[in-house]
Amino acid sequence: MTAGRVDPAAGDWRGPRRPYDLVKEFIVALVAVSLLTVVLALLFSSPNEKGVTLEQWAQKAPNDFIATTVSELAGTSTSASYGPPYNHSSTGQQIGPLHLQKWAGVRIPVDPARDFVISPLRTMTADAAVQAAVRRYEAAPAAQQDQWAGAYADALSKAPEGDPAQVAAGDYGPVPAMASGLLGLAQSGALDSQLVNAGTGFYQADYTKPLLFLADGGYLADLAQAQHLSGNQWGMMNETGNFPGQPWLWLYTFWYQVRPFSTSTNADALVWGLMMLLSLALVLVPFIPGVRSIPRRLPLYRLVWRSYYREHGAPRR
Amino acid sequence: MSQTPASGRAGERSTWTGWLRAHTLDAIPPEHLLPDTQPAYVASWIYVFGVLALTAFVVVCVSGLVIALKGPTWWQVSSRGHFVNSLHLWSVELFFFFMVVHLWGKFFMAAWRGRRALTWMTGAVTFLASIGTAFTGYLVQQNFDSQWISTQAKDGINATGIGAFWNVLDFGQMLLWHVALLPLAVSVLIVLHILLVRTSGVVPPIGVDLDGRVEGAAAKEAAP
Amino acid sequence: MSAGGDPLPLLAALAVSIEALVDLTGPGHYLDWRFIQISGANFAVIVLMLVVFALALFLPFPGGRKR
Repeated sequence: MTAGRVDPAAGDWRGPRRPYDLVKEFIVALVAVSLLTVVLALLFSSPNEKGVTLEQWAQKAPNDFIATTVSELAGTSTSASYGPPYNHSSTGQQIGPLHLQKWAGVRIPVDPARDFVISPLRTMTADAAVQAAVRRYEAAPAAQQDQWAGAYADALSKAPEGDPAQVAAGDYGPVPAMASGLLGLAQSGALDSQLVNAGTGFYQADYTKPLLFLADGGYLADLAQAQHLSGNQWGMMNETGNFPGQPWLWLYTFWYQVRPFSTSTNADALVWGLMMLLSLALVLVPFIPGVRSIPRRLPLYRLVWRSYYREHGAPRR
Repeated sequence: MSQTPASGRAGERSTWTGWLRAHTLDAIPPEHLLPDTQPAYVASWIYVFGVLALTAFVVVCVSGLVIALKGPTWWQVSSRGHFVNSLHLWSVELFFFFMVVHLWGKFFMAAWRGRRALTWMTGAVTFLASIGTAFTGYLVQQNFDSQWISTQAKDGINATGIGAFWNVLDFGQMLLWHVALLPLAVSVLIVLHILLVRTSGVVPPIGVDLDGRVEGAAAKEAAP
Repeated sequence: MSAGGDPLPLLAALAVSIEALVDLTGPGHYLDWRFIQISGANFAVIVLMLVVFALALFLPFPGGRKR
């Protein structure tokens, strides 16, 4: 306080006071907000769109399921080409020279071909055809595996509606048998629990693998698109049905809609970097020249304190 | 320690406990903590949004605790549970609603004046921490929202490198963050924020000194 | 599971009996304006925040008694 520039607002108020009851204010507010919450809950309830199972995916969209399975084997799915923290198949996104994704490393190892396809198929011990297909696939060199899976993926994409039954003849090795084997496993419901990472062997709490596999397909995204939840639909703010979502994410959502972010392959890294900077700026508003002066230039504060200014005189503009 | 504090409680400082008590009372005098008067300028509806946000947070915590009592799947299988989930959702919407209006109000009052920057900063960090807490809530609903939001959000979080340590696809990890770590962080921030408000008092109007005089105003008597 | 053992038994029972008075589970309504897309519900929340903020500034605050 003895410094050259004394902040006129620092210290205890010595001017006029008015009666106030802090405890009463708190209790009244608590009762009012509790009642308002109950009324809103009774009026509007809350959304609960049931989750998608792998079983449901395999039954409702078998062609998409087959195509996704083949893309895991071909190494072309989102997960298979993801990079850190799941695998080394790419370096991930970067913010200029900052390779944060790569530097954090591969800490949640996921090998989509093995984890989503081959390991579950190995459990189908009663199915000799599937076991023979897996053995043939594993015995082949990596280049041969890639060629089979790549050729079958191409053929599926050219078949009407991606229907495996209408694929042109070709050398796809054991890949079609493996894909239809996994489809059968998923349609039975068995794959849902098999993909969960059972860290303790029995209890399950980590859904990284089934979620990655589900998100590699088009089925989940199509459902989300229909509910206006996609990234390019301002989806982060939205909720299923007509419920309010997270409107406080409007600025974060906004960046994904505009250039350069909307066309960048580094959009996530850039938007997150920008939002971290802007969040820091929000915290540091009192120290940012220009921004901290906005309140003095806008007359809103004169409305807040109008009764005081009316009685004691208004400050100069 | 050789200086006599303003409150004259130096005699109590021969023990650690006495020292802590004296320092606490010096820093937060009870009449500041629980005031029964306010400066005359605290007379606008904009001042109620802080306490509204606080009480909405209390409702968020109580409804969350009821869900915690029954476990994470209760609201999926019980209509009573679904109602408590509705209470939880709408109190969260109210919490953010009141918090944002409170933030707007404090911005346009330049409420960081008078060495109150730390009050603003703890409030802003509370807002950011609340966003994280609400986000993890969406992840642990075990429904379509959780599946879609987690698989979308992983890309952003992975791009920062944080995803390698904080796995939004790991239900167990997110559940514990949502029901324990983040609510604790938000609660501590709110307590700090309120203690700062109470110790430094409500910021005076722009252009008014601590004696209540308005700078440059026509000579009106400011004293009561 | 007896009703007495549950928290908020009365309210919960009420909620169960009336369900939601306003059904928000139907297809969502969205507003489109150039590249901006916003759900009707989010738009309502944001407009309501602005209205409440304006009301808080303009409505007279009761009890200006000083001492």
